[in-house]
Amino acid sequence: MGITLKLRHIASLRAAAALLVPAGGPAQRRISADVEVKQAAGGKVATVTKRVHCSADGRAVIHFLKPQEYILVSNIKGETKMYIPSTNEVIVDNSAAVTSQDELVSVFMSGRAEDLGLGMYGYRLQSTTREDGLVKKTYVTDKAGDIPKVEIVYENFLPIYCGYVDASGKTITKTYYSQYVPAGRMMLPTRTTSITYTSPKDSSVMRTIYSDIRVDDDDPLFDFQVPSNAKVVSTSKLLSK
Amino acid sequence: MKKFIISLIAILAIAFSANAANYKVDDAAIDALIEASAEISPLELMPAAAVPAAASLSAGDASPIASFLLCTFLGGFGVHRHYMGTRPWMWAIYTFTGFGIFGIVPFVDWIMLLIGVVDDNISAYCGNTRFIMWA
Repeated sequence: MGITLKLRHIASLRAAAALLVPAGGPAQRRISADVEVKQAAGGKVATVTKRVHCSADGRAVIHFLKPQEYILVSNIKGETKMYIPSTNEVIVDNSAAVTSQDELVSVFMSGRAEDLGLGMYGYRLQSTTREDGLVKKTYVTDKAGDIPKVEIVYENFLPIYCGYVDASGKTITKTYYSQYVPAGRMMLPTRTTSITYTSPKDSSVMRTIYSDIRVDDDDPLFDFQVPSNAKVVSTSKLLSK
Repeated sequence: MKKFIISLIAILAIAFSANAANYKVDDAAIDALIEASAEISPLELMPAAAVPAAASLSAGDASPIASFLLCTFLGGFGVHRHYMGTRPWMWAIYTFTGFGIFGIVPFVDWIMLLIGVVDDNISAYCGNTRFIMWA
């Protein structure tokens, strides 16, 4: 009887602990997924396909397959290498322009799902309200040049909507997150849709679908290293005119 | 043109349904819009050396396709802006503003250049010295 109670107590504690572990806690070390991005505007659609490999240490290896193959390796510090296999060239950038946290899987994996990584860019929570059973959080920044306000709406603690609001109060981009699935101990949206309003009459739609999500698999690309004989092309050389 | 009008109507319908559904979008309508759009394979039209060898191109020869592709691959670095002609430090503005304000600026650049590809006209963005070229 005593043992049963103890086991039940332990089970309860474990269940409570599981609820307390933030999304993207240390439960999974590596996650990979196929990603298909389709961007439609003006009756045309362009497709980008890639496989993302995100590790708990913040490293991300993104293997772009279409329209051109290249491999982007980045970490949380913003050290980025873009390797082009066809020419054996590598572009190195340490300016923190691109970090692994620009990848949605990394954002969820690192426990930043609540603000979708906005905190990293200097946004702070301004208000929290309830609306038809949903929770709406408004993030703001005073940083000149940035989008001043971002609204995130949650359903069952998961973000389902993110709207970027310009200085005039107009929402210029709406992103919807849906079809959440468990990936290890976190929930991951397998579909995102962004609608950007470029003018009162025009808009663009970007649909991203995540599939073949694998947790802690042994894909060698997780440990990809740029070949030592790759020709380094600096961004300054690339940009010089 | 017919496809463009259908797409425009579909986008407006999607936007309306998104508002009505309180922060949810009609996935079926999105899928239908994408299905109705013509797939473009810009790389097939692209000069072989244009990506990533942007340094070999000059602003006067800026083509909509090349600009669009450079924005696709290296938009966060603002490479497409230098290809089309802009101030010499524009790349720094892109990189130092968190990948162009966490990707929003190159993202909208990408859309505007895609429209430029359709219209075969990007003259408004060539030699443009503003950070937000479409403002």
